[in-house]
Amino acid sequence: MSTDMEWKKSAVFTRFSIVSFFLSISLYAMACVEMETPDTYRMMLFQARTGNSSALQIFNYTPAMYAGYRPDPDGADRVRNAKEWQAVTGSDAVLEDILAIQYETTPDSIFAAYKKGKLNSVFEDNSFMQALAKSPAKALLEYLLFSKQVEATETALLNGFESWNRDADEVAVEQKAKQALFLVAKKRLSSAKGIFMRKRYAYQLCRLAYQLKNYAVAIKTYESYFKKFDGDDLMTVWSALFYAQSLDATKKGAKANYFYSLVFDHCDSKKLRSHQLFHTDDKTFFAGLKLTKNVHEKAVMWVMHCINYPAPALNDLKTIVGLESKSTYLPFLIAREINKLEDWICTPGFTSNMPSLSPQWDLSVARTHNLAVDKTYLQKFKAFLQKERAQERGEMEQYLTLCLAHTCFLDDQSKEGLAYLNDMGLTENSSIEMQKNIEKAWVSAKVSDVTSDNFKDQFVVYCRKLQRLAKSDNAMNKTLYTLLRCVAREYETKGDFATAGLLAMKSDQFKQRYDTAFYGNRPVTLKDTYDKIAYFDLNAGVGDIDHLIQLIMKRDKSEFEDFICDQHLGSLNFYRDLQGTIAFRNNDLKTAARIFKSISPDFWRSHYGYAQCLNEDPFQPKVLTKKRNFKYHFDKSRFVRQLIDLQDKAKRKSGVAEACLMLGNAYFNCSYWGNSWMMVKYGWSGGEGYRMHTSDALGYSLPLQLPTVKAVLISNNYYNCKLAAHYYRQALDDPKASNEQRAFACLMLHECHYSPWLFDTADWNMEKLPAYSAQPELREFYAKYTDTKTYHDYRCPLLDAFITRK
Amino acid sequence: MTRLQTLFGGLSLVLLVSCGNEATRHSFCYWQRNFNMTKAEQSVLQTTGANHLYIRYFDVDWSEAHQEPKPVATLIASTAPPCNFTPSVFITNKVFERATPVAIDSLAARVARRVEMVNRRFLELAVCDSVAGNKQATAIVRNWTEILFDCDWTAATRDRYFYFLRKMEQLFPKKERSATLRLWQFKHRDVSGVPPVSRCLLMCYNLSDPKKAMTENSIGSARELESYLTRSDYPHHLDIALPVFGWGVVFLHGRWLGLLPDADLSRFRKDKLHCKEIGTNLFVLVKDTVIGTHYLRYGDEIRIEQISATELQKMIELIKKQVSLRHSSRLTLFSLDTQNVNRYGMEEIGRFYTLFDR
Repeated sequence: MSTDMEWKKSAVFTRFSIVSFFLSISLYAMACVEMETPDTYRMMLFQARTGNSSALQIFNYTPAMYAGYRPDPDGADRVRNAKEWQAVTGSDAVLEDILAIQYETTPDSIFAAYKKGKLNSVFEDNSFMQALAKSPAKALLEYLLFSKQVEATETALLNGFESWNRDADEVAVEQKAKQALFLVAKKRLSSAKGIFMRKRYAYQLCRLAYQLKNYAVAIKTYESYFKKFDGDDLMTVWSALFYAQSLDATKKGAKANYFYSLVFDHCDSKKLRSHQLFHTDDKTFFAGLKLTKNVHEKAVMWVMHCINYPAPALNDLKTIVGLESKSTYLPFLIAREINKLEDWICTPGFTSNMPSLSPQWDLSVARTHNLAVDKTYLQKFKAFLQKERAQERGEMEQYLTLCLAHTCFLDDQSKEGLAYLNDMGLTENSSIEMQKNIEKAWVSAKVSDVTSDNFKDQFVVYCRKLQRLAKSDNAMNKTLYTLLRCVAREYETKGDFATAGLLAMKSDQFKQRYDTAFYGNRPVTLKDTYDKIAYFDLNAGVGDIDHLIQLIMKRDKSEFEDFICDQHLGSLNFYRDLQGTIAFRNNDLKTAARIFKSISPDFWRSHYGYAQCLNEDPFQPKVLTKKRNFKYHFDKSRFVRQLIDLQDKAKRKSGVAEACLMLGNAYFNCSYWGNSWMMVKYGWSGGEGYRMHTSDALGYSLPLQLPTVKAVLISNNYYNCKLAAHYYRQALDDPKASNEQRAFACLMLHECHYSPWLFDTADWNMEKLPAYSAQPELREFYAKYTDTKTYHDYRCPLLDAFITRK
Repeated sequence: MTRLQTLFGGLSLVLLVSCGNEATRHSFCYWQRNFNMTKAEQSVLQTTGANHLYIRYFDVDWSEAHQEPKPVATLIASTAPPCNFTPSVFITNKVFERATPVAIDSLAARVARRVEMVNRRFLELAVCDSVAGNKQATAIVRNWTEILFDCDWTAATRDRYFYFLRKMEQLFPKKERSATLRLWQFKHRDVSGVPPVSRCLLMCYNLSDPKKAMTENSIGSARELESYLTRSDYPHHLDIALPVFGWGVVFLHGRWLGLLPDADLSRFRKDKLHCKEIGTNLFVLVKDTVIGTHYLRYGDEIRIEQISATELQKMIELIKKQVSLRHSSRLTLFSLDTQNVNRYGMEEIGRFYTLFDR
């Protein structure tokens, strides 16, 4: 692991954390769009594991949220503890009953029964309590009650919420209670009989002493009662955590680190905590490493060094293998490294469509650079896997073969990857078997014709199987999201944007399901919302929408078609409207008119945001409107027919000024600056085109892969009023045009130039706007048409200033 | 050792900042979980002339599990306040979205009780200080005069929040009650309403959304502030809160990732190994880098947001020109923290107060 990569050595580095409530930004946070975290949009296909790694899940590259984290997911430590109790209470106490009292019964309910002398009757069905109630077990019962008292002092701050009923200084209240219990533990430890009781009271004393910052007592107690670290003895392991923390608090970080690693290695419930406390700085880490007694202990320390590391960790992996080639942590760490590579290589390519913050910085340069770096790292990692595989047999060999196949597919070496897959043979590990099927589906999308029935049939079978698994394993939703996104890309390359879009939308569904497990259910709406057309708006052409509608309407759908259409889609009219809009953007008015004609005008009054955004006269330029009237009944079909008629008139050799001015006004209004922008776009935002230079065709809402021709059309007409200016120019050039018409054309040609200029030039924090100098049309307006009504109506000091500026 | 500690590590005197009868116009917000005033922090107060603290006592948030408001992160009092102070309580708007009027009655009583509890703890510490020779220690704690409530209420929650504030009037009849006022609440008072308190603390920061790519400085600027200060009058006595904090906003592949607290422009400029400045306060990483559990890559962008001393001075001038302030109006800086103080230097911070006084 490259140490210079660590920014903690850098002067500028600090940490991520939640800012204070006083810095609350909720006002703006509410207004803005929901932000996905990398955990949500990251792509991840590799999920295979060997052995039992559930206790390590919290260290997954894309981990479960801390709120949902269960420290002892399989209950391994609980069972160990219960078995130790069973050993002293006798087999009459059944394991389930011990677990019920230890982990499912609140301290309050036990104390209440105890104080009333009713332990026997309240817990008459519990064999453990019955065993403890017998007189020989009095000391055991006493300890159980004591441990429950200690437990009661630790619940006050659960989930960050405090209690109103306690003293405001909860820490002080808790300290007092702990102090009293500390004295009890100390006294009872001195007289405790038998190793079981001594170890338990010693554990409680270590814990309380550490919590009371009485580190010397914690250290002394541990060293007296747990002289030799016995990883099989739960009290030794648990006590070691408080011992290590006490060492840490007394500036013995290296020794503390060593004990954290012992705790990490020997119990499930303290894995995360010991890792959180573990020091990875070189000085402490290597000093701690010197305290290890064997290669296994050394290897575990290296595991802790890299198990949560987000950057390449191959060097650590090699060190671990060099120390302990059969390390049980290795399969998990390898999977984690594969997940990193998937993220670095796939995520930017499939999901990144954001521009950089600065026009001076081109993110695609960074993507190319990073991809080259990541591919080089992938090769090194593959070589490592190959070397390891050569030395393994059985399940581990199969696992490594699978890993190799996956890395080959990541590297676009499908043939080599398939060879590895075919080499795997049968396995009894269901996780490996499932992953093998995922790999087959993935590579099949890469090497076969995704449009073939054979592929589609197979693909649906895989997906349905994964969907079933996702009901009990949320991570499968992530796999489905990634797999569908990959297949959608294959359809894109074949030019089938209808299927690609449905697949991409469906993949988002799985992405959200994965998220929902952590963030709660998101509302599903049946209304026509933008997310139902977003993909097609950005990628599709007129023909793609025909195909999409055919797919949606098809009665006898194939399994594949049924699968991709099984989601909350928009109404058919919504897709038709998009199709007409695409044709309109392309200036194909006849097609647009034909499509809009098939939509009932009621649709634009009752769906999406048309009624709120298309409600003004499109032939009255917004920029010249002194009092806006929002009661206009806009009908897209009628509007486009009017444009066609006007275009026909504008084709004449002369006498076209009136028609051209109408067309100019209409196209001006269909721009970002007009009142009918929704003819072109589905959302209007002042920030959307921010910093969008006239030469830069891509707006913020447009993906990088958007066909350039479409982007240019939008840029030319939507942001830069090229078509409007064309018609105003034609009106100005009409020999039969009146002075009034010429004046109007000149004024609007100025607006077509000035608005984009201002948008492109002005910055909110500029002290002073750059000077705008009048273009020839505005000068002509001032020079030739001062006696027109247009001049008298619209001449203003701002225009005067432009004229006076040379 | 921080620069502050280096500068003031030698001072062994327990510095007491002016208190009691003097006007408390120069203030800092103290927003840490543990109130443990270091000598360096006390020196900051003395050197800059700050004589008042807003101390966050606790937050109140809605607990879904309990279906009632619950206290969060109550202050751990480790030292007594060295100067006059205003206990401050932050309540999330969610509390007022969810709580019924009956629950608000109960909340008011609980909040009052908890404020008193923290005060008792402060008093215990002050008594110890007093025994050690600090004669003013107990007087400072006993003589607090004002309590601040911080909530980003909306038009939908204002009635319930204002009801809560009126309840607090009954519970603290002898104290001044103040409420924080966001700029939108100041500008659009017809929508937000005017809280039933005697004074308001106008928070002149966090003016735009840091998550957006087009935001240049979400913390604020004089120009942006001006757009909110369209009316000078306000029915209540106004105090002013200005930001001295800074942060970095991290964008991963162009997507918002999070905030880097304490990020400092000058140190980013110096760190040419990792960053390259590509625009105003905008840096691009030129080396793959690990921060916490995040792996930032070549090309990822970090926007450093902080307000320059000149800009802060402009903001103060603007506030003085555009807002009707009273002689006793207070300027508080968010927040008292070594990093924030180092960002400007104590002399400059002293100048902010002086400028406000003029």
